[in-house]
Amino acid sequence: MPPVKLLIIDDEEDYASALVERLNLRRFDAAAVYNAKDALAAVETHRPGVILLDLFMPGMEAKDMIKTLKDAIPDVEIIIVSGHADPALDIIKSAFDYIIKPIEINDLIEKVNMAVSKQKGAV
Amino acid sequence: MTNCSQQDHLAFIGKILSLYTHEQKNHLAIINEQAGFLGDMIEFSETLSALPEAGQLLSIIKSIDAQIKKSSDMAKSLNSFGHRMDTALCSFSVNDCVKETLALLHRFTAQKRITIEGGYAPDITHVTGSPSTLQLLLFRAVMAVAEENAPIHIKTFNADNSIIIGITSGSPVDFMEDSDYFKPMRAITINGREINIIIPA
Repeated sequence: MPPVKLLIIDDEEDYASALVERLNLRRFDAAAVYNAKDALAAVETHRPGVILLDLFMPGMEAKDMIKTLKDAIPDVEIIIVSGHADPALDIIKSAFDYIIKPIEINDLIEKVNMAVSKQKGAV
Repeated sequence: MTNCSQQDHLAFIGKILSLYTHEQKNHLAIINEQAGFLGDMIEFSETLSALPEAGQLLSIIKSIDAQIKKSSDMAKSLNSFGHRMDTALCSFSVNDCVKETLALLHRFTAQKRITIEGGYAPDITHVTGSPSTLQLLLFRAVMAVAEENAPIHIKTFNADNSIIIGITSGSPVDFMEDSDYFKPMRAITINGREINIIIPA
């Protein structure tokens, strides 16, 4: 089975690049971009199954970004990853799930696997 | 006359706390992933195609060090911010008060891609008053001029037996604060462009 393709969209480069390495060691095919503009190009080239999206990035409205990403890949699942600890935010309803930084990698992988299962119609 | 209450002051403190904790969570996330990656290199050493080079490891450790320093500086600013409310009145440095407030607003300004350009007159004397109330007034003034992608210029200077904090963003602004809550400080707009917070020396 091919590895699950993940795209991390987060302006914290040191965080995102380390997370990419950690996920790839765990047999995912992860890539990262650090701004909204590069995200749109990466979605086309990387064709991720799951996107880990930072909720607050400079120059990006998360609501608009989620719509754009969903337009580009309709069945992509989006997990919001943020330091903003308010799960009551409306925007979260438009994503598959929400996880608060700092994350425990096994918790993240569990959510990613659930997102993949949903894509396959198992959830 | 404008109106400001303790409720507004509490809301300001809440805003600062939420910005601070958000920023700290980001710092911790970076440290967490980089330390985790170091651990992974040991845990997955048998499956790695090549062992990590010393330079790569050192780079990660330096990045963790830098992040810890940033977090520590932020914590120092918040600690100082909290202690400014220990007494109703005290002697304080206006320049330090301004710099601390702006440091604590970093998450907000970064999100809006706002750069802060500060010019602080070195001869500003200490004043006696409520530094926390000045920080609230400064916060309201910064919010009044804040625009996505636009720099904010902040300067301090002496004029007419007062210390002035001048705030501009290049765009027209209409801001005034003359509420009893801020007395003897107040804020006015000069020429529709620059907010002046006036602090009697």
